[in-house]
Amino acid sequence: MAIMYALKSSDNEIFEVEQKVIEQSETIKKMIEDGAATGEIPLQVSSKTLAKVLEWCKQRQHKTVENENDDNKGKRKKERDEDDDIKEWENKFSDELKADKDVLFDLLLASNYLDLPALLSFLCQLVADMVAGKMPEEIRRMFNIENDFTPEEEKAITAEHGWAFQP
Amino acid sequence: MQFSPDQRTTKKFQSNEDEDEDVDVISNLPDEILHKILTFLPTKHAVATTALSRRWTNLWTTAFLPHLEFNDLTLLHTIRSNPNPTHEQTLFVNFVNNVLRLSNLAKVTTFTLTCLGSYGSSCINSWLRIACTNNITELDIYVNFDNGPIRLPAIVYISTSLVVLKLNANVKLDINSDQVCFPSLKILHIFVYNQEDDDWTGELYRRCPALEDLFLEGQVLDTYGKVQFHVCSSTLKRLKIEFSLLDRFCSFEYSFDYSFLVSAENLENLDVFDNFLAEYNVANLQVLDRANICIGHPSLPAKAVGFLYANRAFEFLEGISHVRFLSLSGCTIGALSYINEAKLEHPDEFADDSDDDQYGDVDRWQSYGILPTFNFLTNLELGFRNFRSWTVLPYILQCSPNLEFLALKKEIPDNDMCNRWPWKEPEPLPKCMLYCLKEIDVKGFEGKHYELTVVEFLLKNAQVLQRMAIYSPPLPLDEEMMLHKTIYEHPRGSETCQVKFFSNCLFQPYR
Repeated sequence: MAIMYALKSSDNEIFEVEQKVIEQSETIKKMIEDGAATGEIPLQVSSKTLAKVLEWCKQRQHKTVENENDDNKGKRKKERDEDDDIKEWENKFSDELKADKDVLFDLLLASNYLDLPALLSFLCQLVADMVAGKMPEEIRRMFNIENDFTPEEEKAITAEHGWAFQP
Repeated sequence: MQFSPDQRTTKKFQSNEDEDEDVDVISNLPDEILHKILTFLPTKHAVATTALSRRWTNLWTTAFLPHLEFNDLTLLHTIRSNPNPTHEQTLFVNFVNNVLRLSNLAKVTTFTLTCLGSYGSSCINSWLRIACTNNITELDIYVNFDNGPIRLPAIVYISTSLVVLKLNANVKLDINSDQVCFPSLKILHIFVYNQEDDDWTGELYRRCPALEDLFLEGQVLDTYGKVQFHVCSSTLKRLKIEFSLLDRFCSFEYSFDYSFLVSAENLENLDVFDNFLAEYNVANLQVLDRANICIGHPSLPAKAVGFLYANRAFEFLEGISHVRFLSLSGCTIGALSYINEAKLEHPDEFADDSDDDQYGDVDRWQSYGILPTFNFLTNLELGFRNFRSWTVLPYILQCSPNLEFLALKKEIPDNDMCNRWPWKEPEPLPKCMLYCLKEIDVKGFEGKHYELTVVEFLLKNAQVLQRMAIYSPPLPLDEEMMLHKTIYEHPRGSETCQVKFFSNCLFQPYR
């Protein structure tokens, strides 16, 4: 029987999770080792975000378990199918986050706080893909970034790094 | 580019639900996360974030970007309208200079420089000197030949971190001394320009103690002279050689000679492509696992050089007789079957050879070129470009006693009339057909007379065959039905053999 832990979100919701799933988080793993996990593990993450984090962790857990159970025979085709499944899952996950940027950034903060390097990299790549190739004005609009430069400063920046703003 | 002076107007775009949508969440993320996001951006786009706001303006300079990549590929568009795009080139030079001056180079692990334009060798050499730090693991240089000779910084030669080096530039390496160079280099991709003094590359591989992958690429620039390459490395596992002759040259009209001497006893994978049939002297490849060979010209050389040409293909195969997975392209098969093709094409030239009916005869073949016995070969793929070259099939089967899987692949549709097709069944039956050939794929099957002959021969005589799959291009329905019926009803040497048909499959050229 798998060992279960209770995670408590910042808005006091309890999530029952298998040890293997949450141990992907170095932060939680350390809390457990330090003995801070006798009852519920309190986390500075909202329930909405924590649900997303766990969704990711479970998918990752699933993937590693399946790979371990593989014997060599017929692995290639199976691996290919699995890769397709994971890609599909990740695409769906990305699309949801792109549509709700608040969740995206909360998740970024949570993955950093919980020390989930794979999720952090995945999200950074996602944001990078949203930004890449866009003009500053487009990026500002996308993320509500306020342009606080004076016109002179802007001109100077454009002049200094002109090549970066070539289409 | 345009900056909007009034930011509020653009923000209204987004506010469709509640006021929270207007909050700039991304800029409130801590530096470490924003830095990480920047590391996932191409250098140009990472630098462009400097113009977003004050919060962002210096973030990229403190981000430890691990991959520096500069390319002026956008010049391609400008060059069309303006053959001398100096403005863009100046912008590019300033950009590279600024980034190298402002960014934190301590953690740069890969550096990629792609220059279509001409900036002069001193400019490019100085960029390389600045960017190549102690930590660099991959260095990719694609620089227009017009830039003049490029020199790698001395630190690169002794770097213990450099694992990947890709050179496509007018670069000559300093490897005159007896020292080891590139001590950790595993992957080398080199495009050879200086073909008049080719030997330095050979010396290079010998000096690289960790080299595992080599991709040697080039173009035949002069159609005269003799060029020789030596690939000598005991650590090499994968080798790819790719040389091509420009289409405007015809390989048989010029007196140039390319030869490749390969001595790499631990080689596992070999890929070779040329379109003129160079000379390959490959010896002692005892652990070779896979080889993909695509050599030779699609058209047929005249008799005067034809035998020399065909012999090169035979000699090459002699050197790779230990291979387990082998793929030979249609051009390669064309060279092997040259003698038969030439006879059919120019019967008058071969008038003195009287015994016309002996084409499929193994003994007959051996008087022209000798195939080795492929004792370890289990998987074989053969390409075909015309019906004449199928005559070499019996001979190849005789030489592959342990073959388990065979793919016959017509690369192009066949419009020839082949009323005089010299097929002769091999006698005795090849050993593989009696004991081990389990699967056969026939691709590009159009149901021509000669294809049917081969398919029926294989079905009838392959004693342990389990599966034959036949892939056809789009054919008229009634024709296809007839073909299926004919093949289904043909006697089979193996009772358990299943035949499957796949319709509407396109031809696949070798590359």
